[in-house]
Amino acid sequence: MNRRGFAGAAVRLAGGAVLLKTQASPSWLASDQRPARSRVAILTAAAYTDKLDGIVYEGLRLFDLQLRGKTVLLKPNLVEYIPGVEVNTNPWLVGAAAAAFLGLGAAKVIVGEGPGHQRDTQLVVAESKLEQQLRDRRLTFVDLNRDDLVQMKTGSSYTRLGALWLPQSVVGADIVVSMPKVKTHHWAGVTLSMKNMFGVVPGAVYGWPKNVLHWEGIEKSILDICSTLRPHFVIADGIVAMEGNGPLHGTSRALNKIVLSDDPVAADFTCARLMGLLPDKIYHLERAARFLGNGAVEAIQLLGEEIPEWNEPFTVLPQFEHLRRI
Amino acid sequence: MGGRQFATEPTALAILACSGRPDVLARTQNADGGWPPVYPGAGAELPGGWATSLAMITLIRTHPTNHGLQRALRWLCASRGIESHWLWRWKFKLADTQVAFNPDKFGWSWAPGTASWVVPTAFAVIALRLGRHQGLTAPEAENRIRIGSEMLVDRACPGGGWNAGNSRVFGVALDAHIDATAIALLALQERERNELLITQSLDQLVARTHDCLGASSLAWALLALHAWRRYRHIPRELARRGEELERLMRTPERIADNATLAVCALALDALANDRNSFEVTQ
Repeated sequence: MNRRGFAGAAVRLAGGAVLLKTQASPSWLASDQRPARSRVAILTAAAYTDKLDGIVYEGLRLFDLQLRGKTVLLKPNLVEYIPGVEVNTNPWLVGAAAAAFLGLGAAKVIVGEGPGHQRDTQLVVAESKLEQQLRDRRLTFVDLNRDDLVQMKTGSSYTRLGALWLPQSVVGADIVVSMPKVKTHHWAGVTLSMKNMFGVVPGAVYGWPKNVLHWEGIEKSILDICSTLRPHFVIADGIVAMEGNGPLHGTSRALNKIVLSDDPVAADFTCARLMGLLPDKIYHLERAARFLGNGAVEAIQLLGEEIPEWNEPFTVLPQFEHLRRI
Repeated sequence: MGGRQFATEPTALAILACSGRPDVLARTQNADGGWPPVYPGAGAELPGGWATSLAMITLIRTHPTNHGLQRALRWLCASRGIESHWLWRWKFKLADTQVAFNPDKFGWSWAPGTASWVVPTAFAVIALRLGRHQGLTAPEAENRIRIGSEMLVDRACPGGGWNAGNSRVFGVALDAHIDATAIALLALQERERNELLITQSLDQLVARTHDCLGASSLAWALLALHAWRRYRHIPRELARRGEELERLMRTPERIADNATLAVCALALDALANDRNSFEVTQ
């Protein structure tokens, strides 16, 4: 091959590589973590009271989880305290989940969170009244922003990070339970069990907020975090949810539901459907359903209630209007 | 940190609080002058702006002739929020306008390749100002102090005080956070006491720390109020907040990590001995 021929071949080869890279999904090399079938339980709960203990306990029993001797880490969504606004996963639900896991045989339950903007985690824990639940139920809280760290290769390559520093308490837990507040989100469309995993990324490395993830792309970061540390179980707080300009400045919306699932993708698809939104149109959900979990109705077994035929869609910011099921 | 791993922020604060030897900071400084937020491991690819500023403040206070200080100064002067790049500046001016801020006013980021935020900018401005008092200078330092201070003023909340980074997102005004407000006020100590932003922010700090439940927030607020103690009613409020901090510290879960313990000790030291590690004129 002469020099010109070699150059032409090199250009074609490089072009082919670029084409392949742009067409292949970043999850192309990620392991397929989708179960054959996912289970979701939608349960009615009218208010944040001690009655939640029984509802969550009975809901968990539906899944027949092997909990004997296991360490469970509950990861609520604790952002910041705004008086009178339901921003955080309600402490009553966190307490009820802890009691249920312990009641069903777990050896230990830890509550952990690393708020994104608030450096004073204890302030949020106290103001949100989570501290009261921790004290009453004798639970240990771990500030995930300041925990010991281990480095893990990302399970997919949507971002350029390649690896993430993650808290030892989360990596070492036998069962990680994502406990989101069901909310709309002004950047990602919705914040549910997968977006909630942003809170495990430590501020002590990435800062407050974890701005590295924003610059890598929030939705891409959600996928890389969840493919690296896929939550084993979900208990979503949709009793009082948030619509509009979430996750902080939206409007409360009573759904009166909690959603339990053994698959975070199935949980988030179901929550989105309960919100009257189209999950397939939400980028990180649509992508996650390709390799992380199940989104299709046929692959999700409902153990509790059915999804209502019609729910008035949650209000959203104008840029997410296309998500609403009209 | 709360665990066993070395982290620069609690270490620097603890050395300040105990007047300890800063040898460990000399050992953990990166070759380029910055400090990793945690060590070993996460430093090489993610040197922390705030970790570097806190290590620098600690060295200036405890070992001002340390050879690493000049390298740290150079690192801080070279480090800047990504919005300072002309391309991002225009993007934020023309297209990406949901977050209200003036991209011409930039400061320091938490991690490389990201935008400026209030706390790392405030710590960097304090470090550079303290450095200046010690005769530690670099050609770019004065300019960075000026632009960094202007950035803090630009990002202040409408009624005074500071949130984590911006004053308004998607048209909604954000509330001030106690610790961000306190640390920003420490960075702006050279401004006029009667400037509206300063009086509003001090008033916010006094109001928001009444019955404060966070020891770390209250301690940072005490350090800021102490630095501004010549302002009106601050001395009376200082004494009250000091008692509240001592009361909070009796509940063990409120002091969940070493950084919180150290900043509480620094705040109580400022009150008891009039010695404030973050006061620029001292």
